[in-house]
Amino acid sequence: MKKILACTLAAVAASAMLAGCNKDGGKEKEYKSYGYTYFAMNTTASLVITDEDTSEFKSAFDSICGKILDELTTVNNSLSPSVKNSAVNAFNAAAAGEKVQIDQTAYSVLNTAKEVYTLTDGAYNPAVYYNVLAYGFNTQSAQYPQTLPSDELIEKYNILSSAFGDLKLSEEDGKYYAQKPTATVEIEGVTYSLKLDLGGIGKGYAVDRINSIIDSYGFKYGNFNFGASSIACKRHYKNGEYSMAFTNPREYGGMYLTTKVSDTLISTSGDYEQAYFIDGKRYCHIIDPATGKPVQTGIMSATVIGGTAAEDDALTTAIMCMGKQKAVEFINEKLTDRKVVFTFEDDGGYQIITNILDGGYEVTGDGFTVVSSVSDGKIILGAK
Amino acid sequence: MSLKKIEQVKTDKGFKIWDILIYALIAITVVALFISVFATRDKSPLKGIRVVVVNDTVFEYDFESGEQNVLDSSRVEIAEETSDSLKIIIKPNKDEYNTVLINKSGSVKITEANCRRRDCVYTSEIKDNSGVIFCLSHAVKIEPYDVQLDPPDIIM
Repeated sequence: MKKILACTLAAVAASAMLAGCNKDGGKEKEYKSYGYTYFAMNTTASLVITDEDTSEFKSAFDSICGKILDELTTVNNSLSPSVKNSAVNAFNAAAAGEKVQIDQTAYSVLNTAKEVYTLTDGAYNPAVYYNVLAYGFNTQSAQYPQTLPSDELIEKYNILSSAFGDLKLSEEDGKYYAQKPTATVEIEGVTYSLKLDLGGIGKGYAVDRINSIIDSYGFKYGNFNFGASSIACKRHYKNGEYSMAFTNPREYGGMYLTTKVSDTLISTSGDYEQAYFIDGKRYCHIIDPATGKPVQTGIMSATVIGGTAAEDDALTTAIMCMGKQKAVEFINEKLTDRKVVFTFEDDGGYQIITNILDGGYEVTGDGFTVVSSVSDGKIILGAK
Repeated sequence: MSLKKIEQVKTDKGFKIWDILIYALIAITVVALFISVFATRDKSPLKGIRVVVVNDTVFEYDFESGEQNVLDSSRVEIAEETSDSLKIIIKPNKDEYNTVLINKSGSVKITEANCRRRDCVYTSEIKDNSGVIFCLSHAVKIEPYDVQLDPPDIIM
């Protein structure tokens, strides 16, 4: 919490950003944008709100900045493993089978995590805590490892992560509880039980909460971008829709596709951040629960638009782990209410697979080709 | 010098025709360079800037919208922001820094650096689309940013 507050206070002051005008009901209005930057969950988050240029708007903006900071602090204090008394740390410290009282934030996030775990048949699994650490992510070390953990060790960790389905949540008298699965493994004389890493869903959950706060203030124009991982997108004050570019997973600073979005929630995952190479092979922070190892399915990035940002955050992680064919089947069957784009690394170049209709996007990245078409809302591979 | 040579120098003209042609050519070249550098410089208001370390763009700032984009948080620290200015610290490598001051009304300069010659600190601020600031020893470049004529509103 201290880190969040200190970094945020040091980093940011509200700044008047843009003035413009558009016609609303035939009357010309002057609009102004304000921005605010936060540092939370080890990344930056930016808020942009546009409204009529009035003193009331400025006051409301100052107020919402504080509300959002409070919300980020609440989420971080609940989910962060680096916060000593966080709900996640309390759960992780408990013995196998123990029932632990958690806060409402952790309860809500775990509920969503369990739903997505079931929906994706385990392709999203937040119990890969030890695997993430074993591959050198989420550690205090400044450098990535030069060697890989043994298969034997990973198989033991997989026994724990595969027990996530046994985690039980309950609500009693307004209090929230999580019961740890009884599964344990012994490694070098030490007994290990299941632990959680909610990094793959926490930012999305925070964005959902902040989206509700923006709605409660009645702001129609703006966006909240949490580290380019999850975004709450309202409307563009001038154009209505925002032009959104997708980060090129193989070219630093590049983009491979643009599309239009408004009044929606978006999350993305990719193998291009937090990754290292050993013997020419990429090892990224996304752990495939099926193998317990960094994802190697060929899918470089996945973005889901629509639904809630927390669900999307977990769904994009799951899609990364499914592989191309299974991901297409899953999207066609389960995600018909959302727009999905994912990229696949092929020997011949980079493939884009999406259920967005032709004309709803523009390919901008060199070497990227759309290899799918859409019929009745379903992706058809190789039909482009 | 022999007496004969001295006499020859005394009788020679101050400028021969070829000398005049060469001087004229030099003068024309200087004027052409002056015109190409100053008369054709893009004096349109600075739309944005970007900071490049080696070949990586690590930070972008758009003066029109006020939006800032930290593309590499390990090499960019936002030190101070007010309604008028934004101070960022670029850390190209361990123990190296360049402090960049962005005036939100449309200019940018390097105010501090621990590079060897500190040329970057003495370079004039960029206030239109023609200026560039280099820090050769830290491989840092600050340049006008108007690469995308229709930039996306959001990068995911």
